[in-house]
Amino acid sequence: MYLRLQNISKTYGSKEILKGISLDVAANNTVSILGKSGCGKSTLLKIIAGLEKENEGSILLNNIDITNRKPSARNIVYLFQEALLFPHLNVFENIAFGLRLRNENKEDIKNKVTLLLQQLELETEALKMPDQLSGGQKQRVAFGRALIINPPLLLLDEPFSSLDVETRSAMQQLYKSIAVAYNITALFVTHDLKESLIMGDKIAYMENGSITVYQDKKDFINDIKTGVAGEINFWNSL
Amino acid sequence: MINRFKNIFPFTLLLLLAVLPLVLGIGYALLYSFGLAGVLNEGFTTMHWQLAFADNDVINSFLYTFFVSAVSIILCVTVAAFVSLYIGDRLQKGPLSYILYLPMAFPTLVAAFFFFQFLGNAGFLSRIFFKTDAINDINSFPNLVNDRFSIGILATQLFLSLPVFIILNLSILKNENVAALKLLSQSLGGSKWQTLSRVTLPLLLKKSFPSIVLFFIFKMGTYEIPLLLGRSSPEMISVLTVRKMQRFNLLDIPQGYVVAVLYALLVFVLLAVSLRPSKMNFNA
Amino acid sequence: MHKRKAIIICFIVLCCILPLLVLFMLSFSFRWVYPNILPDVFTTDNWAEFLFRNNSLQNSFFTSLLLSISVSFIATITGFITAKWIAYHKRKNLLLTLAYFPFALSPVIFAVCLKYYFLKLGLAGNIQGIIIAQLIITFPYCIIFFTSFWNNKVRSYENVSYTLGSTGFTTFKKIVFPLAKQFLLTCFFQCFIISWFEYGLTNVIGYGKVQTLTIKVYQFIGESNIFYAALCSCLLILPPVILLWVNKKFILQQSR
Repeated sequence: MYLRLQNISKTYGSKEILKGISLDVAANNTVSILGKSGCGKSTLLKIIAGLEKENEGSILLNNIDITNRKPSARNIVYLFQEALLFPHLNVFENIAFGLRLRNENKEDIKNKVTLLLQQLELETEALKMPDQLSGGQKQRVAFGRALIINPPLLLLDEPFSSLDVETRSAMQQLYKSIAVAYNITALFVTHDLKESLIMGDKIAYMENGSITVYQDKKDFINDIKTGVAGEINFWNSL
Repeated sequence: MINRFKNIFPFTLLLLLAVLPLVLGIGYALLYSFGLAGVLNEGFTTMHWQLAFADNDVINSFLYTFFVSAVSIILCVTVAAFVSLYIGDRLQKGPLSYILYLPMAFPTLVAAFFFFQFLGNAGFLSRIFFKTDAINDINSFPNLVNDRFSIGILATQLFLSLPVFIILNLSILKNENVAALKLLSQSLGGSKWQTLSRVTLPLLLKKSFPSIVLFFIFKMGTYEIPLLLGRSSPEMISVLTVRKMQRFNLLDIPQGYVVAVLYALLVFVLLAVSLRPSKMNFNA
Repeated sequence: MHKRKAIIICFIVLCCILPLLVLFMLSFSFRWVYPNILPDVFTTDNWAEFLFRNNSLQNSFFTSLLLSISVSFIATITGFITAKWIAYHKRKNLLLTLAYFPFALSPVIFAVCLKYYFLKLGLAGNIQGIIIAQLIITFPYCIIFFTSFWNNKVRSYENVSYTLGSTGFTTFKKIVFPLAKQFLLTCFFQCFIISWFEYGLTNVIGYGKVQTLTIKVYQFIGESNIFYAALCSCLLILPPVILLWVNKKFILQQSR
């Protein structure tokens, strides 16, 4: 397995946020995690990225234990609900940020960023500042900023939830095509039932700090607690 | 290792520069006031506390300070509300927006000095009155500094704090989108007066409340203004404290520390009761 | 209606500008006999004295300048670091309260309570002592100032930067510092002004031996030399006015 979580637990004071989570993600696969707000899914992602410390458990990436590595040494990119573009840098520099950290030469940076801007349909926005962009554009820039360093693992924390319906669905399609093009391995967290079905090669359901992973979509649909059955009934009864 | 340093360094700073001075300072004042430190150092006694309270100066000073600060802050808040609501839109643009900040370029001492020169018997105002025949000799000009009604003190405090509150109000009006709320209130059938008394004013007061309390505390501790413009009795707390400490009568010094301890206690209570730091927003 | 507004505005403008004009006017004179509204004599002597001759006034000016720059520099940096630690601390409110108390206390009363320790440590009557004493009031100010900077948003930016592969230092250099630059500058100047304006605490801890400009003003008032007092006042007002001209926020400090 490419990413392997073993028995991850986390408590805040007396509150148990994660109760021994184990999860495997195969290479070039996207696993979507469905869960209501407060079920612990963001905490799980933060632990994988190294932004929070687990109480117990270990994280293996490509068979290497990264549990005690600093976030900057993990190469795992976390995409937040908010785009969080650096407000003092323009679109081009936001995307180039990771490459500049790696001291790549200027010509390479320019080529890579320009190519990505094209793929994300942002060529004309390169010199704009973040506050001049629409919500969907911001999210695409954040996406580009993550992709450009070719991270072994992408963590997406409800990245599209603040977008309107149409932009959202366009972004989902864009993600799917780019995921294939760039061989992305990702964990995609969402509270939206439909989104979890669209985005995931595999689907998991999280509740009260525990996780259920489904073998295929059929199992997911048949499990009553995921709410899919209720949804189907609703549409059928119209 | 680095992480530990990251925590210990700020902790040490906070301890050395904020907590320790506070504890040591108040602690010393407390010990001194009970006769456990200082030149006299004659062992535990409540004598100084009794003396301080037997002396009307101390109680009067607290009452007087409280009174002057309260009047000053009420005047300031009222005038600031009026100005910002009545002509606020004119004060936000152009040279006026800069002129409004000018009083903040005045050190307290300099402002007090100006008002001393301006309101004093031989001052600027008196001269204008004389030239316009409103008074016919220097002595018929009313006492406006070191006076019974603390007019000099109040004028200086108003000069220094009014701009701060006007600017604070203007930023509240803008941030809370009061213009839209006013329209809403009027569309719900509120008259102009009702909108003012039920929406605009309560909102301004509520939002500026932390600053009001803080400035009240500041005004209670003010030193330079009453030093130049106050009377010799009653005195404001800081002037009284400093004077008692500088006396040659050794018994006055512990009483000065009694006043300091009482004052610190008062500030703590005011801060603790009326303000939750989490709600305080400082940068207008 | 409009006339009334215009009158009020004129009155406000007059109130704000008159003190400056009067002090400026007095600094150019040495005789002002009652009941003349303008001084009897106008002269540039006082200013010439300060600029070319009187070393004690120049000394005061530069002492004040050195003092205020050191104090605000140290306070801004230490406050910035401490505020981050407090803002992300579990007991943030408690720690912030600790900063509020010294901030709200009257500096001069605080100073008389601390004088004993300054004496014992050999810090009374010299400039080092005054720097430390003024730090005790400006440091909490900076903490309070910067807690509004260290919010969740900044923390998220830091996190994004870490996950993109940057170290603590690079994140500070490339993300936090650019975001904080304006805050740091504003805090620096606000501290500068608090220190520049301070009289009571400086007088108590410095025993009047360290002659800052405010101490000079008070001395001249005591000697009834209003013309020199006015001159020093103008010198005190000058830097804040320049700062105001550059950026209004720089002088909007909330202290006494």
